[in-house]
Amino acid sequence: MQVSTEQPDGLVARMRSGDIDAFEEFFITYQRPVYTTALAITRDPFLAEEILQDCFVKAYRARHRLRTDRSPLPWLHRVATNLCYSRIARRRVMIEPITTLISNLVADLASRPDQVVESREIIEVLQRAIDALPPKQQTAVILYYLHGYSLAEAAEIAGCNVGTMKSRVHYALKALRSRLPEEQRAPAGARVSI
Amino acid sequence: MSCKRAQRELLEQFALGEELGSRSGPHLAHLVSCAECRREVGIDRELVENLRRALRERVEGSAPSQASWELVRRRTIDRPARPWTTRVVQWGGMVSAAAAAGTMMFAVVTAPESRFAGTQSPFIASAARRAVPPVDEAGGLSGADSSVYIATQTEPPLPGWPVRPQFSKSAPSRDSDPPITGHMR
Repeated sequence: MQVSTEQPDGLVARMRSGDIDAFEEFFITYQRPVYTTALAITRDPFLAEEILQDCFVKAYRARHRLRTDRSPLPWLHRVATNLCYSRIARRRVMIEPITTLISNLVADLASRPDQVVESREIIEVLQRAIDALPPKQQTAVILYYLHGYSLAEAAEIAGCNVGTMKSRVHYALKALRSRLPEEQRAPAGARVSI
Repeated sequence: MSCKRAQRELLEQFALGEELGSRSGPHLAHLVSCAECRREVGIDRELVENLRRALRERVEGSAPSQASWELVRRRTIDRPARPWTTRVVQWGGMVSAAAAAGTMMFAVVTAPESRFAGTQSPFIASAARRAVPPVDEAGGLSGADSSVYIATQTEPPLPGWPVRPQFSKSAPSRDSDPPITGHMR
């Protein structure tokens, strides 16, 4: 169970030996996925940028402990998600009312069945519902549906087994579905083509 | 095949990307005959598509700024390494502070008038006994330094200092009021 992304050209080994260019290459190679994860969790570009920097500072300090035989990306993702949730926890007071917002929005949409077919509104509800997911389920959804990792790869990044990851994705979907108002759960013409 | 099983396994197929392969025959047959399951599976598939869209929207058009690398570089490569002496001084300071705190705690706990005296370890209790010489049967003080002890005990408190109330655990004298008993009845 290993993330298939290979480490380019002994990058970590060169970083360890004090090659400054290697660290820059390391940053350029991995900044995008780390930033994407941070941004998907926080939805704040400035905070995501801070987390990106903190993550690579940690990587630099821990370069002697990084493994040279495999990609450092799972480790970077894990550090980034931990940083995200520790920052979000500090902003808990600001985050919590979102749950209330979701309930209000869902209730509002449910009361106007003729207008809820708008795809835009469904996406907005989903965005808030993703924010309201527990951190582990949120990470699972982001790794699996945004980054396109397999269940095994996502499980490795999250530090759990495949079954646990599968169940996290499953429960996340159930939670997201329950957030959608009844009318939006059944889009017009939703039929399985067989 | 039950609706519950069909929906669960088809959800895994659509949502989790698991291929049912040769096992898909019964599921498809069930879907043909069950409108409720078709509806449910359609909802799940739609949900997954919308979820992917919602997640893509979160990150679309955003990229880390060009200044990121410079900021990281300043905090890592360009940051001068601290000499070992700095670290020794820093650790030494922390150890000294911890030792001072420990000493103060010990002094408070072993103080003669501390409420901890007599209830702690035998060492602390004996230290408390040494600090307060025992009173003999005749009401005086035993030992050669009793005069010194009396002198210190009879000194008036310094002006501006609060006078500590004196509590006694001795039995009440005969002149005092008898205890009130039975008033709750």
